[in-house]
Amino acid sequence: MHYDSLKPSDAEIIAQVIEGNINAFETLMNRYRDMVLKIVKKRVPFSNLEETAQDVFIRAYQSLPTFKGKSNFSQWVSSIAVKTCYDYWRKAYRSQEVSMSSLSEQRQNWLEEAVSDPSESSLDEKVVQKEGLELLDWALGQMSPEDRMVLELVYLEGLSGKEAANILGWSLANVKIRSFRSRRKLEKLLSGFMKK
Amino acid sequence: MKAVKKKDRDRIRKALTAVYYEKEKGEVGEHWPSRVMGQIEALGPLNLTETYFELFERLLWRLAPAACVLVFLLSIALFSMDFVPGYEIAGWLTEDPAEFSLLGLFS
Repeated sequence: MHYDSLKPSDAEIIAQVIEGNINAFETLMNRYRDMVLKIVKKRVPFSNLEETAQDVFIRAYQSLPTFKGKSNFSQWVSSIAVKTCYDYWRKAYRSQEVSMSSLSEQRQNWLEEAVSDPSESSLDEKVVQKEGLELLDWALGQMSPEDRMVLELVYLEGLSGKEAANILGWSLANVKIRSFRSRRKLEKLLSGFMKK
Repeated sequence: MKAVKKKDRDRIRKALTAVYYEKEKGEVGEHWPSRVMGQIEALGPLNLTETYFELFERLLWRLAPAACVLVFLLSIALFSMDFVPGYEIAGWLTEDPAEFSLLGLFS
């Protein structure tokens, strides 16, 4: 007998949670914890990771009665995770917590080197340098929360406009326009710091 | 400021994407899952009773097609009865101009 057939399906667990068995939600959380954490880690500062990921599961729990099973549960919870990160940045922008500092020389050098030496070995070294992370955070910090979300999904993760639109619950036209504008803005920002 | 060539744009994207995925490596604390479950348990079982507004919203959309059909049927009925409000009012006005009042139409 296949072991997976003994495991309750997502739909069965959801039905149990809705009927009042709160502890059944832990099984769902364990199943999708790594996936949600991966989504959140890439999008919010590490210091806010635990709190934001917690919000994702609380939202998922509270919204469970609205889950109609049209998409699979992993897609549904991914969408909640991305939207929770979006809300995090909206709040952060409102409370002026986003750093608007200028780009330091070390980060400019990192960018120059990444462009001039595209070899895989060089890229592996560059990725672990903190200047790269600072540069990415700085560039994303110059974007609006909406542009930031689209840039992450389309430009960095390589999702299609339609996939990004489904996750964010926006129209395809909105995603396409934002994707085009935010990419141009990013390139303009970075080219401004590249030495002649 | 110089324009970035396509080749350079691709390299920038590749480098930024690699950095972006590097962020996945951080770990949450050992007790984080139990804290989340604690928060969820504190919320209690899900409340499935609908508020009046939710009930109204759901019924409103269900009744919308029936309302459209009703309006359509009433329009056909009024046209088939040759009822033209303008002509009807003008008719009453010309029949008895001294006694005519709009309120009288509804009495």
